[in-house]
Amino acid sequence: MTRAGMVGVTMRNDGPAYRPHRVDIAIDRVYIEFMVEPLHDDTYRDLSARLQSHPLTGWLQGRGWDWFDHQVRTADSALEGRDTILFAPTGAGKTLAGFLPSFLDLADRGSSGKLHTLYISPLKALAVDVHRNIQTPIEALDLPVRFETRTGDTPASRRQRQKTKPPDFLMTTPESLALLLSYEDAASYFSGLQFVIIDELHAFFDNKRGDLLSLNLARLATLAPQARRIGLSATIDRPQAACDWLCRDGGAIVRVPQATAPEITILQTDKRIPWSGHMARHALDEVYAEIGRAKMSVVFVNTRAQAEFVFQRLWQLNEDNLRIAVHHGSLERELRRKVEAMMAAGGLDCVVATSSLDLGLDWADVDLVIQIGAPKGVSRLLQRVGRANHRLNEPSRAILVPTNRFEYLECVAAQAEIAVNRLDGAAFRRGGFDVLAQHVFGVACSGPFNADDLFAEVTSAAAYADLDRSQFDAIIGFVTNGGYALAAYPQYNRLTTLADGTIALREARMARQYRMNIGTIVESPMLKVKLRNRTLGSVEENFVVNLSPGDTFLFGGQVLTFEGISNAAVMVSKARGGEAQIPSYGGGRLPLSSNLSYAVRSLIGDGESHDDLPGQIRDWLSLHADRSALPDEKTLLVEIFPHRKRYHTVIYTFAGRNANQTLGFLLLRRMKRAGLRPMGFSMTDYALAVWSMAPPADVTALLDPDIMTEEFEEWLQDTPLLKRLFRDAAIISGLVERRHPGQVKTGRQILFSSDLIYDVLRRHEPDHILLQAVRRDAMQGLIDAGRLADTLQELNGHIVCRELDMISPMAVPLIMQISRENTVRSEVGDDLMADMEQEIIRAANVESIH
Amino acid sequence: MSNRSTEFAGQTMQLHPSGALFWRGTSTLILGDLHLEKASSYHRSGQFLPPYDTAQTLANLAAVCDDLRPDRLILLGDVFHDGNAWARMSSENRDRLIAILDGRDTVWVEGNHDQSFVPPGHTGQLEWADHGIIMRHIMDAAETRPEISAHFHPSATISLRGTRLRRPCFIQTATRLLLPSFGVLTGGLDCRDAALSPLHGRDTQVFMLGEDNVFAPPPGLTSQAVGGLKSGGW
Repeated sequence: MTRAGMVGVTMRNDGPAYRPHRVDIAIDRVYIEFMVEPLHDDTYRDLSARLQSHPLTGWLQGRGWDWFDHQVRTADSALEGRDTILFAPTGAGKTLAGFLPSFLDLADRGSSGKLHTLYISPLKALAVDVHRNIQTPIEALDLPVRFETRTGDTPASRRQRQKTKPPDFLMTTPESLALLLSYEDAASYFSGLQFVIIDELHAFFDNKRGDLLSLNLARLATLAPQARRIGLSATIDRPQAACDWLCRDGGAIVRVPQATAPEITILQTDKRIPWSGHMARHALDEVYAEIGRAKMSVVFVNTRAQAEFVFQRLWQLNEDNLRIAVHHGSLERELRRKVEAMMAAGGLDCVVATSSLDLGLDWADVDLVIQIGAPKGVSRLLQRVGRANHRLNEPSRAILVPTNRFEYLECVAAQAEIAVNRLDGAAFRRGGFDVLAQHVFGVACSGPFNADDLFAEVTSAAAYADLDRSQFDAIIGFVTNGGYALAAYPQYNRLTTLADGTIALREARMARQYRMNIGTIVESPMLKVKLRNRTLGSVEENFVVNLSPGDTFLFGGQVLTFEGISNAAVMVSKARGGEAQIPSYGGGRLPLSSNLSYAVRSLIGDGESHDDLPGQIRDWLSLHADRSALPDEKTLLVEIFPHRKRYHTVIYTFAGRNANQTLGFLLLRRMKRAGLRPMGFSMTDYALAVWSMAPPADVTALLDPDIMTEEFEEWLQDTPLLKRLFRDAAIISGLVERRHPGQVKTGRQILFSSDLIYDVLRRHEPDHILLQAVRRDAMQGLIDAGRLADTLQELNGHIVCRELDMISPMAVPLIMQISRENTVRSEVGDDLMADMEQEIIRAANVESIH
Repeated sequence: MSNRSTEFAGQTMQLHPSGALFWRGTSTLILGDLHLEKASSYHRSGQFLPPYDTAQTLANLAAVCDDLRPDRLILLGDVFHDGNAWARMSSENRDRLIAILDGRDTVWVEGNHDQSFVPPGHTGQLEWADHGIIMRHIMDAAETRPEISAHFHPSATISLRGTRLRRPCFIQTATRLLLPSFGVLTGGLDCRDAALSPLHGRDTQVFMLGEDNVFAPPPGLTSQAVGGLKSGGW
């Protein structure tokens, strides 16, 4: 079966369909795996003719390019009527593959005056970028295709025009799509839709934006069942699960393996790698030297605080006047756009970036990626590495810079995992009830609905397949009037049941409330940072509370002096040099993937492999082995040692920081009950340290997996973590109104706090659907209960306990770490205040204060 | 329960962790800002807050009364979140409130939210004076006599060893005593806010509410600091 001649692409069908590891792939030899029956030759021939006659083919050939076979395959599959996912590394021409069916279909049918293709991206910036990319051939060939972008930034006049005179292609985000779906004319607006392209599909599986998108897609399937879905995804380890998520029956998968293995090295240094810390201070001279050697580099960091620190240090080292910029989510959008534009134009030598640059903007000229700090996951690292070099058949080059010795091991493990192409298990979450509540409200805004039909539609979305009818009905009750057991005031209800049994918005004007609240991203309260009249960006309110006038902090690469708060903005001036306090931005920390943590444990346990490690890492491991024992993949190491008048119990679970945090809370309870007087805990991805006034006598009993039933249920009832999740859920679900950025509090005091609502609700209606919602969310992310239970179960009976005289080398990071998460507000709250009084009493040398 | 007391205008006042002030010498319980039916007031705007706040606030009040057995209540305004709150209250909740008031002298000082509403059979006062102490809902910056007031829902934040705690608080100066709100669904205003500048001084004492106790950071309150130390400096 030869398809040569079609577009000059040969397809090899005689060999194995797909070899997983390190296949060398020339541009014209792409291996593709089809999960469905092979194509009919006739169809393919037909496609071939259509492709040949399409001006895009000539345009490509005129530039010395041609269609990749996977592009043709993807188009063919979608044109045949299948929902299709293309898995391919960066540089494989995914975007064009996604749009190819639309171009061909539109060439055949001509524009119908209706929306033909919807392109959905997780990032506004990406939607804009793709707009630019498809603009090039459309304009060059003068194709009769109207295409527009619609995001939250689109001016009202253009939105209005897009509504009355839809373009053929619309580039948008899940939030803007939700808005379009909530209009009363949504059914007619989408009636001509043929294709829905979802870019960066892998970015949607494990978060609430993905929940929102999956519900929107289910809605579109009702309004425009003919529209085929085309997912464009980075390579992941469970393509079939992704297919189940996106595709309806008969979905197809097209895969393009990594063409060439990336070249990943770990930065070698003569300097001392610290035992703990995350700032890579020791390595920045060498990082700077690498930047100087590269044409253009991206320095990825894990947190915004790291971004600020690294950027400032690089500037101090910058004797060659390299053009270095910083890019992170707290910076003003204008500044970020400016950096992106400069990158695209080749006007920069280096960008220090957080995950704000993770997703696929097309920076063709990056030739080096430097990852500072541990990668935390193989898939994420691969994507970051993929930023370097967008050409399919050239290797990407990356340097890993571990910031401490544990991270060195993690980097070695990640390197090894990438060499054998073992990716992290992609996480798929169960859809959030808060997002569903928002969606149900949106559906009602578009017109009356039948509850049975909507239930069927919602459960057709993979994220909601497990939803049962009683939960769905509870959500309708919630949207109607809060859904409380106590009778409410029907005159205020949002929804009402009509005579024909359908459910409708009680008053059309209520749709405004929905439209002001679309979306699943809830920012923690942010304050603008202002240098005189210029806004530099924003910082979290919590950070500012800890500042006094005269304090300095790093922001946007500058050292700023805090002057005070004025009109809800943080007023700053430029500080003159010196050390600065670093913003402690929350979030941005991903837990270590299970795959990688297993690899790290194996590496530590495998003595022979230590020979390949640098001397100082080897010494550190052997020192730890001498003083204590090395944890490995089969045992659970526990150390108990006295330190500063407390007993520290350190447990090396390697279960990731979220699971460790949960275990910390549970152990506090269990140890309190045992009379050990626990005082607090700290955790990393690798281990957990609990300190107490008395040492635990029986570690096996302490870590018995039954902790996941007894203490866990109790703890779940009143953990402050749920409160934190409730804050988001209250907004997403529409229980309370969203405060928009820059919106100044009008009242003298906060009107009400979602924490107080949570307390009242938990006390009076503990099974309320919104409390169920936060428990459901917590179990899969923040609490990571499944992973913790697995770890404890697996290592039960394999505990190695060492009682030491003093702190062990590996425990140092835990003891050094005094982070905000290490204490338990509600549980030590009063103790904390009592402690504070005691400390003052001691400091003031007074007997008491009354 | 806490026996934290403070001397104010020559009188011993007990600071209760519920946010009420107990004047044992006159067997008087002083409290403000119950904001009954606050949740339901939001239902009109489509924010369906859980309608359990009234029952909870009243249960808390009943518990304090059982604990301290006051002969007299001085309610420092905003007992009701709005003028229609009484009408929206369930009959159970009205009965609960009536039972608490039963057998006690009650002084109703008017607030800004309650629109001068008092339950049938009661009368409201703009302010109330007792033993030379003037009591009103909103402090009067020009007042020179000892004054007890409410209205601002003050709260304070402390940081110690990396943990921050924000709690409702009493604020006391030589001539003023400001009460925290008693309602369960009432937000707080940071005690350093400029609106509270008449209370900012070197000798200002903040009393933070704990679960079962009231805690006192060292004295001193300015627009930037609680208790003489900048928060975060702990």
